[in-house]
Amino acid sequence: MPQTNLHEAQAAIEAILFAAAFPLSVKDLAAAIQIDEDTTAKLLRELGDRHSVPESGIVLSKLDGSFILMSRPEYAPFVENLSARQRPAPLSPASIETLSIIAYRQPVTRGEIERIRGVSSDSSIATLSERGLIAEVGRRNSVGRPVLYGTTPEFLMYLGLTSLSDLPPLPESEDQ
Amino acid sequence: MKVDTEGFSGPLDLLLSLIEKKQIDICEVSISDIADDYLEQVSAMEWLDIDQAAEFLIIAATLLYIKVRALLPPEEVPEELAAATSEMTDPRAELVARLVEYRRYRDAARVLRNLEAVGSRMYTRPLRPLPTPTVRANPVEGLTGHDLLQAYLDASSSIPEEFPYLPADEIPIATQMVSVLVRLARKGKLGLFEFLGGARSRHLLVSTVLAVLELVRRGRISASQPAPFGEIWMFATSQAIGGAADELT
Repeated sequence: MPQTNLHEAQAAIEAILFAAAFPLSVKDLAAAIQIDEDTTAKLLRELGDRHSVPESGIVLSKLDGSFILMSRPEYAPFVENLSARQRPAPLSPASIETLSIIAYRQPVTRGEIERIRGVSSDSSIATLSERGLIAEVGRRNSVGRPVLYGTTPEFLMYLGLTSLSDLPPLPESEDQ
Repeated sequence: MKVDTEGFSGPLDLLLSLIEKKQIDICEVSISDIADDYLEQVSAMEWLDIDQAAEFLIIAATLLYIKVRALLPPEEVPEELAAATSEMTDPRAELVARLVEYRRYRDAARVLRNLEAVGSRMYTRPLRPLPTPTVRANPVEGLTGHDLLQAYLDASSSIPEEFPYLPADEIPIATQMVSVLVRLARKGKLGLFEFLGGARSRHLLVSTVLAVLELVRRGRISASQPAPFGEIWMFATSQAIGGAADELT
């Protein structure tokens, strides 16, 4: 049944986003509440504004054009108190270095990563793949057809980024 | 495997931090000075992994090579050495370029580290697999609670309501087995539905059906259904007679 009342439509969007544990696109949401995408996008913006106050424990995060409700980072310690487990360990220096090379140079081969880092990066690549932050995205058409790595939507969520273009610019080398 | 030797993610990380400790620009740095610091650090490290040690030593060798070249006056560079390196780029320039390139990603990693501190602590409910996009037809489409009630009433109408709350006597299956065998002995064959139609209660119905199944399983009777959905006829087998009394034990 089409939603005619915009307040109800916004509440419906909120309900869907709460129930779905995965990011939803404007298109998905528009189809679910049977309202045009422009109106849905507008309602999403309003919903985001409503949650963007410190008193809201929940934030509406945008992720690669999709939306998901997440806990506000300021309240993370309390959420972590609830769980018997500690917060997941941050990435090791080697892994986050490898991740930065993949993020800024993707798609990139293992060889290129190792050339820049000057060290074998097998275990870092394995860790990052295991945590779902990177994935194989294809193969380069060169000798040996090496695997190309790129970042995943999980990567964006992990760093709280809305899209790859949201990555802070790569530091310029002042010596060049 | 020990990955981050003494907190350094690799030889370039170590080299860069030594340069930065001296607060000198990468391009201005005296590789000879740095080479000594680097070798001192590397020799103090505990090596658990031979491949990793090799990576640190390659840079050590490069540093030493650069140092040696710098110490020798240009005209005294041995011929073999000059020949070996003539087609190569200047090793110092090459190392500096690598360090400059490496530093960009190391600094970017520090930015990502800050993002990680916030982003990784925004929680969602546990991710579940996306539901399959195909919408499956609803098998009870259009059915209402009333339909279910009606179906139940239709199904139960053939059996008289028992008085509620009073515990009904359980009818032993053995009793019904004897009853079936006795009737068969008298009539030769018996229609299942006809026989069940005489059941006065659900308890009796259930134990009769179980009794029939048990008899078939034991080979005491046989059953056949000549037409689909038709009457199921039960017959006494040769083993049927004489055992009736045993069923009670």
